Formats: sequence, C-alpha cells, structure tokens
Amino acid sequence: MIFYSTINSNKTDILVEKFLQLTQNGISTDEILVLVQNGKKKKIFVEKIKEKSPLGDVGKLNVYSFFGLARDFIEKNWVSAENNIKYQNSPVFAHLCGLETSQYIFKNCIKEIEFKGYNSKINLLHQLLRRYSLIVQNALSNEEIKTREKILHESYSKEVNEAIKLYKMKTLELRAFDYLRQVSIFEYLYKKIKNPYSYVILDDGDEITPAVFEYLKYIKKDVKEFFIAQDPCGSSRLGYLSATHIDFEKFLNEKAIDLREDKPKIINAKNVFKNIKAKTAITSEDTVIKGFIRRDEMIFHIIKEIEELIKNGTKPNEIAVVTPLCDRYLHFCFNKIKQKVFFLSGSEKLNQNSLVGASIEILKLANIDECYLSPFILKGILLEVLKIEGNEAIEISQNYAFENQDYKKNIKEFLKKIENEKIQKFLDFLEKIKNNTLSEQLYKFCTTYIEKNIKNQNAILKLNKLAKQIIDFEEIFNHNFKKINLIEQLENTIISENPLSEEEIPDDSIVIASAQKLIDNEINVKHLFLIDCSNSDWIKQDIGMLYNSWVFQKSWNKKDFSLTDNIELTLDRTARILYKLYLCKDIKMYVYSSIYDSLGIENFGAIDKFFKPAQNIQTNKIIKINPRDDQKPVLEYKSGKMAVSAVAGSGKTTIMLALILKLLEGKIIKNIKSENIFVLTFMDSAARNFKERIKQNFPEMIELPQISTIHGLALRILKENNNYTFLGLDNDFEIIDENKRHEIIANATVNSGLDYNKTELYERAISDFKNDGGNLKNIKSPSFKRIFAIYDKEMKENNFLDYDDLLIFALKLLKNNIDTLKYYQNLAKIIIEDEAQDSSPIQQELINLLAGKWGNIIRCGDVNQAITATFSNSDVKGFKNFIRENYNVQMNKSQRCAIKIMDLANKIIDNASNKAPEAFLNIKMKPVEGKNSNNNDALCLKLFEKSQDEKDFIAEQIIKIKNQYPEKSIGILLRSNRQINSFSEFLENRNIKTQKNTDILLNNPVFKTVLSVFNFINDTKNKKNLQKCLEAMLEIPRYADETGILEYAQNNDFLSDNGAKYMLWWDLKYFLLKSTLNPMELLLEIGDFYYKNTAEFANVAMVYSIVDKIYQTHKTFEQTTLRLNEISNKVNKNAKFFKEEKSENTNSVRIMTLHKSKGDEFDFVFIPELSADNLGLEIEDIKLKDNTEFIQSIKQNPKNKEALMNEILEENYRLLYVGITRAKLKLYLTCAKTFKMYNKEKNQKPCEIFESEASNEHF
Amino acid sequence: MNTFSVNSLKLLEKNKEDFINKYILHLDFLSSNKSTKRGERLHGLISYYIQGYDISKIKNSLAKDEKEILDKTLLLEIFKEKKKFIKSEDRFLIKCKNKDLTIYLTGRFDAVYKGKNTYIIYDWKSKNIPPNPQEDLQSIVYMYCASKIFNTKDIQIKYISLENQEFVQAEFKDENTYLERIFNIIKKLPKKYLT
Repeated sequence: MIFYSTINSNKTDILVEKFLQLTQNGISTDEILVLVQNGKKKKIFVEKIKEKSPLGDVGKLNVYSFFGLARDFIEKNWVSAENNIKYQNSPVFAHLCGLETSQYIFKNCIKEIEFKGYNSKINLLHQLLRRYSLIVQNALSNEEIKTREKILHESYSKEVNEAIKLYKMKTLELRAFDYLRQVSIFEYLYKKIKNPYSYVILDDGDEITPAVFEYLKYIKKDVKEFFIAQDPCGSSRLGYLSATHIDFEKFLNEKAIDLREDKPKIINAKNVFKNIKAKTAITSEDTVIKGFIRRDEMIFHIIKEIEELIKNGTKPNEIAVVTPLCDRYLHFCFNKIKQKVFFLSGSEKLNQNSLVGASIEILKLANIDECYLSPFILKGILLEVLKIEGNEAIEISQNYAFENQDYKKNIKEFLKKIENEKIQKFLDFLEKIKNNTLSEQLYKFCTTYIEKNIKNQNAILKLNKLAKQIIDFEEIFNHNFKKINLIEQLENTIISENPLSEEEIPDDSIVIASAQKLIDNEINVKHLFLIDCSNSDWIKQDIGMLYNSWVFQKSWNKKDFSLTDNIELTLDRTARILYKLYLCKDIKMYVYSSIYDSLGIENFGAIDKFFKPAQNIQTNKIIKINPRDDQKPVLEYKSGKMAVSAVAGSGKTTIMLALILKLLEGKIIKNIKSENIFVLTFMDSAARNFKERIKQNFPEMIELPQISTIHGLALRILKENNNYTFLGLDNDFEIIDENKRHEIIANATVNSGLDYNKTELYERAISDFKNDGGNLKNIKSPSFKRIFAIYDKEMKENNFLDYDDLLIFALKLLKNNIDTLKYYQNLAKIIIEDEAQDSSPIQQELINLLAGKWGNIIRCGDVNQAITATFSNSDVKGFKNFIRENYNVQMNKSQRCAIKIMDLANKIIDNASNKAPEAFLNIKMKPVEGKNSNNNDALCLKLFEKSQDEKDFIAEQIIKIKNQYPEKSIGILLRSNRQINSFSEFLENRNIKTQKNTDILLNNPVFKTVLSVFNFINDTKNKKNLQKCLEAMLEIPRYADETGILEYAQNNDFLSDNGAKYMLWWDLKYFLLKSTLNPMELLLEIGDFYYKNTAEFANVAMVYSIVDKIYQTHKTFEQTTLRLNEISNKVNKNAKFFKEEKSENTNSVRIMTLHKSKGDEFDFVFIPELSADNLGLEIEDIKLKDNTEFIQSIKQNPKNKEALMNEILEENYRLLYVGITRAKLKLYLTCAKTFKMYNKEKNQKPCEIFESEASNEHF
Repeated sequence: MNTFSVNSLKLLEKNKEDFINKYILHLDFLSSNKSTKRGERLHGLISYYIQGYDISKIKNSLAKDEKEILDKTLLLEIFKEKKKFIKSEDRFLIKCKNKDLTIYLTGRFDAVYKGKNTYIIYDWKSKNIPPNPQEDLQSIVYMYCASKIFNTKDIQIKYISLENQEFVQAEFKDENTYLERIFNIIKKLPKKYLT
C-alpha cells in the first residue's frame, strides 16, 4: 500500500494503525520492520505503538531510522561479519564509533597518499568524507563510480580511490565503523543473512536513501506487504544528504492513494513548490516580505516582532526562526530575548564550553610534567573549577603572568608555592590520576570537581560526548597512543552537533533552526520566520572538487554535467525545502533578508528572489534630483555605450544615483529588473551609499541592483552557483586581506635570506606579475622566483586567494566557461562604472565580457583625477579611449570650490600642457551660477624659510579657523604616510585634535574598546599598559567625567578597593572577574555592554570575526591580545565596518595623503611641504625609485625610464589637481625652503607651482 | 518518562535524586568500566554460542582468563541441550498498569531455556550472584515480564556466576505482589516526571 501524505499530517498515525492491525491479526512484531527518517521520528513512532498497544507484551519493536537499521543489523549479526574478516584480533563486538575516530583514521590514510597539486589540503578530508558518504548512501558500485569520474573529468580519481580503499582497509582492520561505514558493512551483510521481515512499514518514503531502497529491493521477494507513506513534493534531503525520489508505484506495481487534504496550507505549499520550479515569484497573502540593509537590523526587527506576537498571546513554541546561519552572533542576539530560545542547529568545538575547555586543560596538566598554562585559562580554572575567591584568583593569575614574562614557567611548580588548600588538593589530585587512562582521568575529574546541577547540564552532556570519544579511541587503538596526542587531537577536531541527541526540544521555547532540522523534526508553528533569505547559504550547492552530490546520485544517467544542471537541481531541492517549510507553519510566513551579512559583505541573494514582489515598485521619491543642464544628457541615456566625464564636485554621484533610480523605475530599458543592473564603484563605501539611498527610495525593494566594487562582483561570480569548482577551487577558499598577505610574503622574504624591508617590494612585484599574466620561467630574478614559489605554495595549500586572484580567477572563469559567461551576460543588461579612470585592464576586460550580450555600458569618471596608475594596475588610457570612441557627456560644472580655487585648478591643466601634455584632458571646471564661494581670500600660497615656521603657521591658522568657524571642516593633505605621523604628532602637541587614516582598526570604537579591556585583563600590573587602556576607555561617553581615574591609577595599586568611586573601575573589574575561559564570550559581553542599542552594535560581529580568526591561530588569550595590538594600526579590508553617515568628527583635523583624499571635500584645505622632491612638476625633479628597474624586469613589456618618469610627472600634476579641488572655501599651499635633517637645516627646492604663481597677488 | 529497566528501578529505589539526575536530567558522567566490558564480552560470546555461531575466531582474541571462564561456563550441563534455549540476548517491552498509571518495563534476557513446561530465564553474572534471589528486584521484574511474554506462571530465573559457575534461582510467585513492589518504587518519582 502506498499513500501520499505530507509532514505534519496524520500519516504516522495511519502507519501505526497498520502496525497494530498486523499484530492484532497475529503477526509477530519480529516480522515487522518499520523504517523512519531519523531518531526523533523513531521515538515518536515507538511511543505511539506503546500507547496504543494492549497491556502485556508489546513485543520487540523493529523500528529504525535509516541509519539505525544498519547499526542494529551489524550488532545482531556481528559474528557472521567477523568470521568473514581476514584480519585477526577479532573483537567480540564491532566498534560502532563516532565520526571523530573515523576521521582520525582517514586523516592518517591521506598522509600516505600524495595529492599532488591539489589545493586546500585542509579541506581534503572533508571532501573525501563527503565523497565517501555519497558513494555509500547511493550504494554505488565501482563501475558506477568510474562512470561518474569520467563524466566529471576528475583529475584526482586515482588518489581519491586509493585513499578510500586504504580507509576502508584500516577501518576493517580496526573494526572501527562510523555510521557510513556501518551502512557499507550492512550492504555486505544483509545478502548473507536470512531476511526476518514479512512486513515493511516505511514512513518518509520521499526521504529514503538509495542504500536503504536497495535493501528493500533485495528483501522484496520475502515481504508480504509494504506500507509506504510518501510525499511526491518531498525529498528535501536531495543532494548531499542523498535522499532519492523513488517511484514506489512502479516498485510495488500498484497505484498510490492520495491522502493529502485540500487544506489551504497544503494548497499554498504546493503553489510555492510549483512557483519555484517555474521560476515565478511567490505571492501569498500569508507571507510577509521585508528587506533590511544590515543583518543586525533584521535580527532586532524580528526580535521586536516576536516580542509583540508574544505580548498578543502567541506562545513561544508557536514561533520558529529558520536560518542557514545559526552563528554565534545570532545566538548572542537571541539570547537577549526574554523568552526561552532553543537552537536546533549549528555546531561548535567542544572546548568552546568553559567547563569542557577547563577539563581539557586539566587533562593536559595531569599528563604533562612541565606544563605552561595561559594565565587567562588559569584564572578561569581557579574561578570556575576550584571556586577560589575572585580577588585571590586574579592575584594568582596575574602573578603567574608576571613570572612568565621572560620564559614560560611550569604551572605546577608555580602553584606548589601558593598557600591555598584548594590548590594544593588540586595538585595532589593531578598527581593521583597521573597513571590512569585518559577516560578514567576525565571521569575522576568530573566526579570530583563538577557539580551535577541543571546549570551544568549542557557542559555535562558535552563532557560525556568527549568521554565517549576518548573511550572510542581507547578501545579501538587499545591505548596505543600517547595520551597528550589524543587530547590535542580531540581538542581540535571534536565538533559537537547542536543540540546533542540527549536534549529534548523544550515545549516552552522559540525554536531557531536550519531549514532541514525544522523539517526533519516536523516542527509545526503558527509563525515561521525565514531569515537571512538573501544569503547564498540558503541554496548551498552540494558540489566540490572531489565530490558532486548530483552526479554521484544513484539515478544520474546523463553523460555530462553542466552549470545548468547544477542550477536546476539546486532549484528543485530548494523548491522541496520551501514546500516543506510552508507545511510547518499555520498562520504566517515571514521572509526577511538583509543586503549585508554580519561582516558587512553583500549577500548575493538567495530565496528572497522567489518572493520578490512584482518589479518596478513605485518609488516614494524621497530623493528628488533636479539635474543641471550639463547633467541632463546623462539622464537622457537610452542604450549603448556612454562616457560621463565629470569634474570634481560636479555631482557625479547624485546624477548616477538618479540614473539608477530611473532605470529601476523602468523608464529607460523596458522590463529591466534590479538584478539586471550592475554598478561598479571604486570603494565599498560608495557601493553602500548607493544601496542605502536606493533603499530609501524603494523601501519595499528586496533585491537591489548588483552594486559593489569590482572585487565584490568577482567574488559573486566565483561563489554563486559554486562556480569556483569549475576553476578547481575548493569551497572553503578564503580571501586574505593585505595584512595576511603581508605576513606570508614577509615570511617568504625572510626565509629566502632577504631583508624584511624588502617585503613591500615583493608584495608589489607579486601583484604586478600576477596581473601581467607572465610566465615565471621567463623571470630572471632568482629571489623573485623563490619568493613567489613559497607564496604560491602557501596560498594553494591553505586555499587562500588574494585580491588579485579574485579578479584573475573571475575573468578566467568567464573566459573558459561559456555557460557561466552566458548566465552573467543575460543578467547584465546594463553596466555602470564609477571612477572609470582608475579601472584596471582586467576590470575593463571583465566589463566588456559581461556586456557581451546587451552592450549597455556607462563609464563615469574624471581622467584628470587618475592618481593610482603609478602604483596600482589602473589604466587611465583605457578610459581615455572609451571617451574618444563613444558618446561623451561632459559634466564640467561644479559648485564645490571657491572661484579662485577653481581658477587655480584650471590653470594647473594649462600649465601641464607644455610640461606633461598627456596629464590632463582639457576639461575645465566651471562654476554653477550663484553657488560657488566668491571669497577673495580663498587662496594662500606661502613659502617659508624653515620647516618649523611652516608648521607654526599652519597650527596658528587652524586655531584661528577653529575659533572663527568651529563647525567647518579642515583637511591636511600630504604626499606620504611618513609626513602624516609627523604632522599629527606636531598638532597634537599643540592641543589640536587630529584624525589620521579613518580605516585603521583602532579607529573603530568597538575594536578599540575590546582591545582596551583585553589589554587591561592581560596585565593589570603594568602602569603604562593600564594608563593606555584607561585613556582609551575614557573616550567612551559614559566615562566622560571620570578622568580622575588616570591619576588614581598612577598613584595606587589599581585593583585595591579605593577605586570604587569610578564606574570605569567597577566595569573593568567586572570583566576581569568574568568567569570564562573563552575570550570570544568575553568579547561579546563587552560588545553588548557598551554598544547595545547603538549603531555600532553591527560592528561587534565584525570585531568578533577578526578576533576569532586570530584566536584560532594564536590559541591563547595572551597571544591573541598581543597580535591584536600589532594589527590595531592597520587597515583590515575584510572587515567592512558600518559607519554612520557624517560620523566623522569635524572637531578633529583630518590628516591624510593626497591619494586618500579623493572623494573627500573640506571647507579648509592645507597642502603643506610641497617641495619639488615631494611633488615634482618638472621632469628634472622626477626621480625613479631604486626598485623601479626590478619591478619592470618582471613584466612582459617593461617600460623604459623616460616613459616611467613621464608617467610620474603626469600623475603628480593630477595629484596636485585632486588636492586643490578638495577645498571649498580656502586652500593653503605651503612649503619651506629648508628642512631639518639630523638637527641640520638642509635646502630644498619648492614645488614649481610657487614659481609659476609667483606673480599671483595672493602670494 | 514511562519506561523502566531493572537498573533504573534499583536506582530509583535507592535514591530518587540520583535517578532523576541520571535518567531524566542526564546529569551523569560516562565512564568506561573494565569489568563491565569484560562482562559484556562474555555475555556476547555465550549468546553467539547459543545461537549456533562458530565462535572459535573471536574466542582466540580473548584474554587467557576470559577464555578459561568461557570454556568452563560452556561446559555447564544446560549447554548440552543448546536447542532448548529459545531466546538469547532478547529484548522485551511490557506494558503494565496500576490504577491510572501506565508504565513500561524493559530489559534483556541473557537467555531463555524451555524446560518441559517451565521457562527458565538465565542470567549470567560476571560479578556476584544475588544473595536473596526470590526478593531481588531483577527476579521480580524479569519473571513478571516473562509471565506476560510466555503467558504462563511456570517461570524460573537462574543466576549463574561466570567466575565459578555457581548458581541461585527463584520461582514465580505472585503477580500482584510483583506489581505492587514495582509501582511502589515508581511512586517515589514526582508525578511531573511521569508521562
């Protein structure tokens, strides 16, 4: 009997009824096999049978999950299997172990096989396990595997097969079988054992795996009757989880009975299924769709809505939240809610739990004689395990830290000297358990030190999981391993599934789960929130370098595999998942997404696409733009290629925004959707700005146009639809930021015997070499070859990509994969590029490729502001040609600069026409009538005798301006970073507040606060450290009145009670006493404490991510803090902090390089130290750097000296032009005739502008 | 919670808090006990032997003393008529009711031997055999359950010491007394834990 029914229906009751009917008819329970999808459903099924059975003997219930069937079969028939194994040392029972043990075995097998040239060795194990899982669950024969290897043109099949063969052999030798190995043993065994079952009841027939179906096929001849419940739209576990859609009607040769009722819920779910399959938007009255900019906004909005629902009578267990990103940040945010929340997803390392972490550390102490311990951990153990009073614990751990300054001190020796009964008892305890087995040690520790109370329940469950793994290892390897090696192995690898199987879902909690977990547990709620819907993890494609979940399906019968197959199959599974999710809700579905994820990286869009409302949503026109005459032609664009040459301050951004809005309104290109508009900006901040403004105008719009930097677009191309697999990349590839890149190249440089100072040179050289696409064989420099080889190896083995790779790989992908290229060409109906003058040849090639179908390209920029060509890969000539060859709109009016400043800028263009004719296009700035300042005093060019005079003058002017115009902004623009530090120091000494590079980590308040608290905890005894930390903390507004703490700290023992009058003292003491062994937990506490309900809260997630990465590699709190201090003055490109608009402080004078100033504007601008050395405007003033020749030598077409000097000269002109055009009201250009070096005044030649402007009345 | 084993009932009888910690709140620490493992191995091999499997390969891997124990045990008279063992390592689940409380008893018979009319439950003890088998909770639960499974009151339970092959036995007496004893223990558990 086959019947169609859905989850959350009464199908299980029907099957239970069938079971009871059979037993009532005298059939023994021994003869009935019941198969359900998972352990939870097994439990439900068993309870229902128990409940409905008459009193007395219920019988033996052969109710199994798909995996449990195999396990039970092996347990029952082990001796048959054992007698057929050729290896001796037969155990009485097989070791049916957890994944950790088998992974350990697999890991050792891989070591014996060389995967030559395979990238991402860290991911190899994961990929192999997935492949093995697919082979087992799909019951693939060797022949079937070979066919698939051919379809996929696999290059590593030989190595993979060897590894799997070795793994199978080893596990057989050890009789160590995890759940997958159990299935493969089961496949062998059931053919040898007489089938005991005459009746089969199959629940969840749509989620059955081929391996289980093969078994049913095998026993079919002996089975009198099958009872099968199946959902034709089910099979949400397709793909990696290996569910397969079986035609049971054909299998049993009988018609299915459709028991699905015509309830609105089922009709609705079916529509969702159909719509997704047909790629049409879902419109459903019971679905609320909302889009947010930031993820934290979305989360807090949901929390608010949930609180509102509960206030109005909804019970917590009637609400569930589904997300593919059950991360720590979400845990943290939801733990703030007043209701109980139960997380049904996510995994964590066991030692993330404080008590488990402590236990592992204590096992180390018991087994290592000379053991060092992180003082932070020591404090945690003293507080949490030994329950020592707070102040004493701090004192002990700080003393230990102090004694560790010079060398790592043995903790046991240190503790022996402490006069404390608990500590001495603890040391005795360690001595006593020394010779026990590891599992005995753990057991004794737990029973001695861990209280059995509800508070510790989670820790105890995890400790038992740890104990189980240890016991597995001890039994399987018969204690043939060093205890300490096992501890380290377990510490690093054990991932605990959340929740542990022992945990029941409480009936008074809001459930937060992944889609699959919600479905698998058949959770039915009134209100279901689907969140992070724009995150691609919602529709993860299950393919990787060494496995392909689609082709490795038993039913795969095509001869090849294409991108379209991948997209279609993934879509099919997504339809099934969403269908089932709709069956899990009764009243309302909430589909929420955010443009950015927790790290500020844009989401590419995922299931939100299925829900987006009809296109061309009406704008509420918050942004109204009235174009000037010179801007109008931009908005009159119809199609094709158009250049927009826009002078500084001409309103380019505004007009581009107007153009995008017009496109979105459907007024330019018919039937255009937001996904068809590709906008490329130079900076992330510009992309964000565009998105936020579009969102203001189209609040209902869920999917915004693709607006990003070129790197953002490249990342999307690589990641979307798992495209990276076509490049032979593994899915765990990581984009490394410049700091990490610097670290790798610095190591390579130093290890090659070169000076560390050469690192920067090789960073540039490697980038140039990659972008040039040259061949390493043709490079003459042996040192470059050596360093590049080390860098390349390190990158490949760790599956790292740098920013250059991103573009190169994306381009390669599009060029080599016609499917992928067509996909994006179809999408990109129009491409708009901002700052086109800085576009690199690769960027331009990418744009041309993408526009291959529709041919609509708009490139905006200002050739005259191209200032990155000499040190980056930008190519201004490309934009110049584009302007020449296409329709060009000139936006030459600007209302930014005062007339006099504008005149000077235009004059620079004229001046350059003789000395550097290629520097500018002859586009002169024109004022906007009545808008520009007419200030006669707008220019000040001044030469000084001595550099000190120049500086004094600037300080004096700044003070004057600040007194006269406190609200006006001031910028100091300099040629080099070195000058910035010296200027900043000088002005700070004059009590003028300055702000240097705004992008460095320390400028983010969250990072600064976290680092300060970490520094404080790390060393409370060092006065200098304390002072620095307190100064930073005093910047937090709540401590504004507590500056007295500085003096107190200077003159007292800081932790003594006298500090109690300061709130800051109490807060720091609180964090110091925080009984945790995990710095990451502490970080979240700090973030929450200081930034809850502030715009900065979103940045807590980013700081978390930065610190977490460091903690994972540096292992201890102390080393992590040290490293955080090292990177605090650097820019971290991977952390895209959210900033509030206009968050920059006008009180501070902004100091930056001329290069960095592009895009900024200030009321008052100073460009000091304008010497010919710093900014030569004549060819004789241009000097090439020492390394120029070397850099050119690695290029395929090296430039000659003259050409390079001319390029620098041209760029210097443009740099000055950029600097000048930053000023709105007044511009100061200054230089001194001498400068100080080693206490001597040396002459210097001022920049040529002072001479050419000598006749100027302002001079 | 509605299902009880002999071990859980024994713990509940001894200490309610320990029972709740272990079986309801899962606040118990996992340990690997060498003698328990040894007992499991011997039980396993006896069961394989009763089922008629060739155990020579597995037996060779046993420690010397374990092998000796096994050999001695298998020399016992009862194993000469192996076919009379109708069950081995056999799980059971019995539903019982007392007033408004329904519970389930679960466990595993090491072996069940069918005499002429009598069903004899064999229980191999790797440690001590119970000093007072007639009153032992295991006897009560096992014999009560066996009486339901085999639908007879002609039930015995025999505890065999694996160390020295000595044995003690008990016979089925009165169902109501058994139930009373069982439910008296269960009543110690606060109602909120009973589902």
